[in-house]
Amino acid sequence: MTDPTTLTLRDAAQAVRERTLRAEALAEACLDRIARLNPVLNAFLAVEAEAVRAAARTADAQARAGRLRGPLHGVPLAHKDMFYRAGRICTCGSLIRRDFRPERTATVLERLDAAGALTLGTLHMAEFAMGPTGHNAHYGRCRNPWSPDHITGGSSSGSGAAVAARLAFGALGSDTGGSVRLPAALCGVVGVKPTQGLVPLDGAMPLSESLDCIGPLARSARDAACLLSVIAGTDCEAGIAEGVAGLRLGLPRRFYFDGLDPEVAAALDAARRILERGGAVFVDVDIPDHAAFADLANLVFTPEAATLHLPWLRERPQDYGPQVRARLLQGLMMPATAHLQAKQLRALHLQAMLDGPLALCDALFVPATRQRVPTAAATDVEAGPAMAEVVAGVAALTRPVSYLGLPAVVTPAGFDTAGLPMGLQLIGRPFAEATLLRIADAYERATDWLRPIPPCHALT
Amino acid sequence: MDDGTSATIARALASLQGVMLGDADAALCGRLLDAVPRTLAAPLKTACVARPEGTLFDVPPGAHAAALRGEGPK
Repeated sequence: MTDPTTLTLRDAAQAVRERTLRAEALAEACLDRIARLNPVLNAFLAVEAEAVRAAARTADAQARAGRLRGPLHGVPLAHKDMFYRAGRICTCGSLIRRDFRPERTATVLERLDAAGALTLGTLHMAEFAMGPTGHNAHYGRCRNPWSPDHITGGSSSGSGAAVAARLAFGALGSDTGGSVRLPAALCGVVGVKPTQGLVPLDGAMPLSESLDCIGPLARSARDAACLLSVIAGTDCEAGIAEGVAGLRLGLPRRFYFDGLDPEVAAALDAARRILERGGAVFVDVDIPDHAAFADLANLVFTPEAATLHLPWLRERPQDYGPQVRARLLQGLMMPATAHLQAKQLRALHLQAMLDGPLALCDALFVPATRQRVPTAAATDVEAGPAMAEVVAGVAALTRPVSYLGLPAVVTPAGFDTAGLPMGLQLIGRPFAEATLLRIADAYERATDWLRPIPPCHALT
Repeated sequence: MDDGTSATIARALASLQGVMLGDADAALCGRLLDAVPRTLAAPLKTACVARPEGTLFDVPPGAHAAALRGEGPK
């Protein structure tokens, strides 16, 4: 019999619906894989084995009675440990909230529950979602399923690793500067950063109210579209199978393609040719100067994060990891005028993108990262001054999109010579998630990048 | 500002908000404090030049959400 964890989310859901596979069998297969692989990957912070078994048995009984709850009936998922569920510990990847039990449940979890999804447990993340690598001073490092010596990307590190390693059929992450897209790119799965405001944030750990987004990580664009439709409460799957014929994809003349690793450049070039064969039309576009966007995003982000953390910065500064504390303290230094000017500029820069390049094409076609996946050693504090440059480089192509508030989808564009994934990023107009997912789906169907399973047998 | 002055101001700013800074954090925050005007200078200049009246006076900080909805600043 086929290992059920190799199914896509949509195929697993269909199998449960048609009763060719029991939800309990899906849950057991995931739990078995978690038991074998998590000691190395460290993707799960907590596994709720008995709870998910009980929920799966209930789902099977409901299926037998013809009472399907929704499109995710009986499908086991797991989420970054920052989505509140009433009465259940939610650490936010921190020491400070290690024993925090929220009184309410996040709207996104309520929507997944209502759609019939099961929950396997909670996933690794950077402390308070601050960090693009997958390091965590309190819970250890999450490891990349393609090579444990390499980083997963962050801050939704466990979401990327768990989905890539087939420990769960899909996962939620959050994206304030790239935290869904980076683990998706570095672990070789699909990640969606929705338009600012599309997905409700209530009941999710806040970080920066201007930049926070919740998005799915999954093993195909169609799976991601299914999850996004549920959590956004709007149809993001419309037209997903229509292909790219006639769609215009913009190639920015500067910034995104500057200083690319040759292997990443070759992968993007090959992806472009595949999409052209599918009928997409590529056009060169000028984009507004993006060089300052990451710094401007920091002016927006750090005061908002510092405001939320101020009581703990006063009373428990020693309970933060040193890098996270240092980043939060920066927010205390920002003049309110600088913060608000960065937000004024944000509106103008977005408008310039909408009136300029995004008026000429359906999506921008760019890399997810300029470099190949860095090693953990190169991004660790022990690496010295060079580390800061590597870490800043990881999010260099995702933070500008967060500053603009635009939607973006990351999907694998192949593997480098070391066997690690490389990702492409599609950036669209506001609320054009369905178009981005349609392009990603056409590309995925013309390639084979989502089919390989990480060589996890080598980890056990 | 020299590094020592920046760090002293950073300590004072943090202290006003009830937070005590260690030496390393004070040095880092001081450097950042020094960098903020430079970060904004070029983008502000470019944006103001492009505005009809040469200022951001009529761009409210909430204008970004309006732009996402298709009701952005013209």
